[in-house]
Amino acid sequence: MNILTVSFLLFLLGLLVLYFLVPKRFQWWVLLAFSLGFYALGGLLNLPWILLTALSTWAAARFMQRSAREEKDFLAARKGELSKEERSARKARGKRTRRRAMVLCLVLNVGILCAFKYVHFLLAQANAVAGLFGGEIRDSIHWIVPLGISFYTFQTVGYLCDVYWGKAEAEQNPLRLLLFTSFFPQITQGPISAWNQLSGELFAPHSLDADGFLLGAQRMLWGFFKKMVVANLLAGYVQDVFANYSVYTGLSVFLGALCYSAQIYADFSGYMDIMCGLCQILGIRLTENFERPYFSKSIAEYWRRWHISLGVWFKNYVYYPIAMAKWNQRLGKTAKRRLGKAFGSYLPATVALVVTWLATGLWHGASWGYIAWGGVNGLFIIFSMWMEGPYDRWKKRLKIREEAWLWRAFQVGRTFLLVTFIKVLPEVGSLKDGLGLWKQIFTNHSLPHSLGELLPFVGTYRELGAVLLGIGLMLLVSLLQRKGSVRGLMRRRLPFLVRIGIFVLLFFLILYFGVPASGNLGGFMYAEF
Amino acid sequence: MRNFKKILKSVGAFLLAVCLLSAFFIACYLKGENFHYQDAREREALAGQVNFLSAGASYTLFGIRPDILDARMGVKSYNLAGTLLTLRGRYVLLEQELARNPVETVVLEVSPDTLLRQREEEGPKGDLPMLGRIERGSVRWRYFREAFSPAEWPEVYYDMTSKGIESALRLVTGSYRQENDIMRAGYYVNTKPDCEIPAADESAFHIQSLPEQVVEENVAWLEKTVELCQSWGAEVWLITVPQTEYYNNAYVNLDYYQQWFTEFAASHSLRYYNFNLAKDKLSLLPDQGCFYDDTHLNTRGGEVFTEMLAEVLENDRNGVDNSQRFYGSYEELTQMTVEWN
Repeated sequence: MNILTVSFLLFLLGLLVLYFLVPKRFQWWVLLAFSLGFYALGGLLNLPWILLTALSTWAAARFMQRSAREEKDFLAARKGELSKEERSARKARGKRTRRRAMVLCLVLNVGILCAFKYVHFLLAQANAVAGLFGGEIRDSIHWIVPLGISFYTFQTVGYLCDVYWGKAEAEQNPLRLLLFTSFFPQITQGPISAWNQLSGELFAPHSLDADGFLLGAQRMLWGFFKKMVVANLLAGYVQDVFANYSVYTGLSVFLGALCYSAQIYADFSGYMDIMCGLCQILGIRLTENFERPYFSKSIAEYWRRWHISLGVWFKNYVYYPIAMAKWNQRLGKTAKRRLGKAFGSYLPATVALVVTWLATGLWHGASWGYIAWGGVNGLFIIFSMWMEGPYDRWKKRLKIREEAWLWRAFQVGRTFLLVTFIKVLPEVGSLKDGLGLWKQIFTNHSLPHSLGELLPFVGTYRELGAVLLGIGLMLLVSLLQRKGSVRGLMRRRLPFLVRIGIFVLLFFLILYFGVPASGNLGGFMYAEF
Repeated sequence: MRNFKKILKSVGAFLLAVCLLSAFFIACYLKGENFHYQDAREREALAGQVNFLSAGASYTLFGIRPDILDARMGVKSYNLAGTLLTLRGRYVLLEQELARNPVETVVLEVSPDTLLRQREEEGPKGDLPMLGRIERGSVRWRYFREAFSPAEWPEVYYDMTSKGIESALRLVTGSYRQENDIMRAGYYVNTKPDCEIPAADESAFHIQSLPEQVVEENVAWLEKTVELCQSWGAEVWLITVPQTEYYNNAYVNLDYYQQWFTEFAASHSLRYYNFNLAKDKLSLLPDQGCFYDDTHLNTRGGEVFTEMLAEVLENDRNGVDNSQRFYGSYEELTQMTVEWN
C-alpha cells in the first residue's frame, strides 16, 4: 500500500479508532491485524515468506531457550555427581545443539533473502564467467521480492542472536513474534529494532494522550512535506542529471549530486518522520534513525547518525562477532609479534570493518556499484582509524583547536562532500556510470553562462523556490534540534494560532507542490532495499 | 476527556483553517481568470448570438477553427470541445448553449474513442474541467453530484484547490484579469512543437486492433445528445476528425466503427462524414506538417481541416452531393492508397 495516498490515511484512521477503542490487552492484536493487512495489500504472495521467517525464528529461539534451560536444570540436579570434564562436555554439547539450531534458522532465512535479492546478480556474474568460455547462462527467473524482506530478516536475525547470547528471552507466543516481525510502520524502510526495545513498546498498554497525538500528527505532516515536496521535486532533477551527466557541465553535475544528497535525506528521514509520528500517536516509541547526519565531522560519525539502526545492527551482529572472534584475536596477536604493536592492535578491527562494510554495501543493493560503495565507506573509516595517531600529532603541531568553529565547519563540509561523492557512485546506473559522473565533475571545467545553463535540470523556478524553501526549513529544523525538540520549542515560543498557521501552510505546500510531484515519483527510495 | 478536548481544539482549529483557505482558493478558481472560466465568460458574452456549435474531445479542440467557419459560412460559431471531455460533459454544455442561443447547426465529433471510453477506468480527468466551465452554481453542484464518485472527491478537491492557488497567486501579482491567448471561441491554439510521427510504412500496417464492443452508457449519452439538439430544432452532423495516415493504417478494424456510425446516423436521420476517408485528405493533410501527434491536428492542420469541413457542410446545405468526395470504407481507402496492400 502506497502511504502517499488517501487510502492509507483512511487505513490509519481505522487503525487509530480501533486501537484506542478496544480493551488495552487487545491493542497488540489490532496492530497485528493491521500489519498483516498492510502486508497482504502489497500482494498475498508475500505473506508465506514473512510467516515462514517469523515462525521458524520463533521455533528456533524457543528450542534454544528450552535447551539452555534443560541443560541448566540437568547440571543443577547433578551438581555433586558429575566431574568437571563431564560438566564441560555436557555444556559443549548443549552449546553445539543450540548453535546448530541457530545456524539452521539463519541459513533458512538469510538464504531466502539472498535467493530473492541476489539471484540475478549471481546469475549475471556466472554468465560473465561462462561468457569467457563461450557459454551463456540465461536468467529467466521472475520472482517478486517480498516486501521489506531485507528489514524483517535482519530484525529476526537480531532477535535470534540475542536469544542465543542470552540477552533476550525467547517469546512464547508466536503471534507476538509475528507482530515484531511484521509491524507495518517499519516493515518497508526500518528502523531495524531490537526485540528488548520494541517488544516493550508493542505489548505495553497505551492510552490516548493529547500531546502524543498532536506531536505525532505534526511530525507526520512534516514527514509528508519532506517526502512529497522536497524529495519528490528533487527526484526529477536528480534523474535528469544522472541520465545526462555526460552532456552537462561539471558544475551542474556537482549541483545535481548535492541535490541527490538532499533528496535521499528528505526521502528517508521523511518516511521515518511519518512512521515515528504515527507510532507516537499510538504511544509507541520507535528507534530514531537519523541524528542530523549532515552535521557529522567524519565518515565514522556520519554512519553513527545516518540509518542508525542499520549501523547498530551491523555493529552488534557482524562487526563485534568478527572482531572478537578467537581466530581474529589470534591473527592480531601474530601480527603484533611480527609486524609491530600498532599493526597488530588495528588488524582485527580492520578485518571486521572490511567484512562489515562489504556486507553493508551488498545489503543496499546487488551490484558492483553498491559493493564498491560499501568498500569506499569502509576504506575511509579504516583509514581514519589507522591515521588517528598521526592526525592528533599534526593537529597539535599546527595548533588546531578541535572546538574552533572554523575547524568544525571544515570537518562538516569535508564530510558532507565526501559522503555526497560516495553516495552517487551506485545510484547513477552502473559502477562505470558512477565513475563517469565523478570524472565529469572533476574534468569538465566549462562555466555556465546563464542560470538555465547552470541548472538545466530545473523545470520551473516556482518549483525550485519550493525546493529551496524546503531545504531551508530542513536546515533550520536541524540547527534548532541541537537545542532540543523543535515542536516543544514551537509550543513554548509561538502562539497557538501561529503554530496552526505553520502547519496549514505545510499542508497547502504539500497539496500544491507535493501531490503533482508524487505522480510518477511516489515510491520511497529505501523501500527498494 | 481533557485529552480528547485538547486534541479536538487543535485538530478542529487546523481543519477550520484548511477549510476556510480551501474555500477561498476554490472561490478564486471559480471566479478568477483561469483557462476554463475564460471559456465560460466568453460563452456568456456571446449568448444569444451563436448559431453554430461543435462539440467533442481533444481532436475537435485542436481541429475546428470557429473563425474560419464564421468567415466561410457566415455563421457565429463556438467550439465546445475539451480534452477528454466526456459525453456527459458535452451534453451539459450543449444543454446550456442551446437554451440561450439560436443554434441552427450542431457538429458532434465521434470516433472509436467516443464509444470505447470507460469512465471508471479513465478517472475524473475529463469531467474535472467542467466544474470550471459551468457558471451556474446549481448546475455545477448537480454535475459534481452526478459525475464524480465519492472516491474521486479528493482528486476534485485537489484539482480545484491547486487551480485556485494559481488564481490567488495571479491576484497577488496583479495578472488576475489577463486574458490568456490560447483559447479562441473554444478553439485551442497549440503552440507546442510537433512530435515525431512514425512513417506509415509496411512495418506499421495493420498491427493493432480496437475492441469491438461499444460501451452502452456512451451510446445512451450519444443518443440523448442527438435528441437534445434535435429537440431544439438544430441540424446535427456527425463527423470524425482526421487522424494521421500512420494511425489509420495501424488499426485493422476501423471499419467496424465506420459501419457503426453510418448505421447510427441513418437511424437518427443524420449525416455522418469521416474525414479520414476524404479522398483529398492525404494530399491536403500530410502526417508531417499537419499533425501535432498521431491523432491530433496541429494549428496548420486545424486550418486546413476546418476549410474542408466548411466546404462539405456548405455543399450539404446547397444540396450538392458529397458522397463522391469520400471513400466508402477504410478497406476501400487502403486498396486505393496503400501500395503494399
